[in-house]
Amino acid sequence: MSRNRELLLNNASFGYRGAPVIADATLRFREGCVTAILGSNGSGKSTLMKGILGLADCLNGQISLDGRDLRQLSDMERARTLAYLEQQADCHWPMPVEKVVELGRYPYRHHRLPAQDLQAIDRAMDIADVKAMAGRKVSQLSGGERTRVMLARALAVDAPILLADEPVAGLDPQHQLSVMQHLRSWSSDGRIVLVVLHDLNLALKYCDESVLVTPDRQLISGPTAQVVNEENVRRAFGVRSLVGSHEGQPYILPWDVESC
Amino acid sequence: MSRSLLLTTLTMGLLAVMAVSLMTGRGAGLTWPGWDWQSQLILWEIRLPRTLLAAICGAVLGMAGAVLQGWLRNPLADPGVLGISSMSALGAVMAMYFGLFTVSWMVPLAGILGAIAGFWILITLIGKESGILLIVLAGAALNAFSSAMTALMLNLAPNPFAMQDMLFWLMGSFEHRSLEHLWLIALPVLIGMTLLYRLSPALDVMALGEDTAHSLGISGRRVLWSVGLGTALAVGACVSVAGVISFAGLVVPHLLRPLTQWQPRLLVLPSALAGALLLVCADVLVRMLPPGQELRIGVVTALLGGPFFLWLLRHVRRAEVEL
Repeated sequence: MSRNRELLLNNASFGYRGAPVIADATLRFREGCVTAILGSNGSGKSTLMKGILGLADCLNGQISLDGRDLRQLSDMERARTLAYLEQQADCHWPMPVEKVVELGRYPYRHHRLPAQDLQAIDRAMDIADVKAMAGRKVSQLSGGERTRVMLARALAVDAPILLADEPVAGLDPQHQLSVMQHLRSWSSDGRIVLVVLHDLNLALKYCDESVLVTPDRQLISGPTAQVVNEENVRRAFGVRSLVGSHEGQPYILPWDVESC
Repeated sequence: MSRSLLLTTLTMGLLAVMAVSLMTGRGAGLTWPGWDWQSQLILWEIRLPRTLLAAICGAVLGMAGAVLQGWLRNPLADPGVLGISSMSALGAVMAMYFGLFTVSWMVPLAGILGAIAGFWILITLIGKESGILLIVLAGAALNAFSSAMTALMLNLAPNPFAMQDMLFWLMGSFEHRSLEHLWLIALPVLIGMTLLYRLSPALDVMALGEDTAHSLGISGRRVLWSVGLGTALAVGACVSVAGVISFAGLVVPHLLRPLTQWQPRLLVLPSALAGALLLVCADVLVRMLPPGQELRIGVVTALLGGPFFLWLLRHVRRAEVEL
């Protein structure tokens, strides 16, 4: 394995049916980093992720991991490289929790190493705190519990890149913080983690870098403390905020809708 | 219930009813076939093809039902949902309309061609997409079109006898089928069932939705081709020799789902066995009824299946609030 992996978007445009949603994105995501993708509803955060995954069309530019074009990978290779937690992920049938988590190992089914599979599943269930739910059906769980099961499913892929689309939506404060904490330690194992978030403070606290998508589809990227400031938040969301800091850690409180 | 116990029970049950079917004559009840040449002829030339055909059709319908319900994430899907089986029926009816039933393999062949044409139209209608909703709607369109064409054939039937033939054929039957018919459908059924069975591991992943399935390495397009071609070959071949047999493919997966932990992957094989069991049973029942006008198998499955299904839904809703 090479040191210091990086996922590179070079002038990439993503969209559907030929119409770009994200245009000319040049971004660099480094290993060991959690990057927050921020922006208002419909600004194209999910499209950015889907473009990397090949779910949205890549209209021009390159996406590469360590210099290797991601679109050259076979379906299964790509599945082992990129783990994806869909927004509002759910399981259609009332399957047992551990069977759902196990599906994260599907990309390895042709060269199965049972010990490695079990280890990955076990660790994923530990991190997402779903071990206690083993044996129950996903349909019997609350919305937040189900979200954690789906997170465990994505972690079980054990891929070098994790793309999580709103992984904390609908979670209680404790689980929001612990999921973010775990995503951070997940990245420190040499992984690249991208998270779509709506909570600016979770970004400030847990994400090293941020990409802010503005309503006019400009991308502002850099260290989170520089990206998530009063001026950029006003530009991206049209709200005035209160800013402060606690023990050297900045926080921001969206306070008022800006009147035009 | 453990999986091996379930599979063993179903296999034993299937073998038992197949044995009963071999001993059942029309309106004659259970009789052990004698060793004289007439009894042997009846056994090998009449009852064996009939029993095997019922088992094969049941297995195909059960398996296709389980795969389609899992793939479309819709418990209401059945082998006919893509419109391919009604295209197969249309092919067979057209062959009858043009008087091609003098040669015994002409109608089945036309049925299989109809199914393949149906698959081709479906793929063309869908274009480059592979979204589930579009597929279901395209299937509905194909169903409507082929049913209308079949009705047109009946409407324009050259004489009442031809019309009666077509109608009876549409109701489904395993009567008067020979080993020749079995050989004719053996290859398409084998290829079709292999295509469908090989999809089963992917079905669990499909439960997570199309985007997540894509991210786990499943190509929606490839799955569509496997399901479409598998259904066209296996279901198309069965419809082309046995006519339209409704309900089996819908009910069987429902019955077994609670016994397979709701995992679509684990449902495929038991559904094939249970489908075979169900149709062989239904065919025995048809022959045990008093002689006279024989009830068609498609009529029997729908007649028994409908009320039973309603009962099942009410029962399941009480026991399992989740579905």
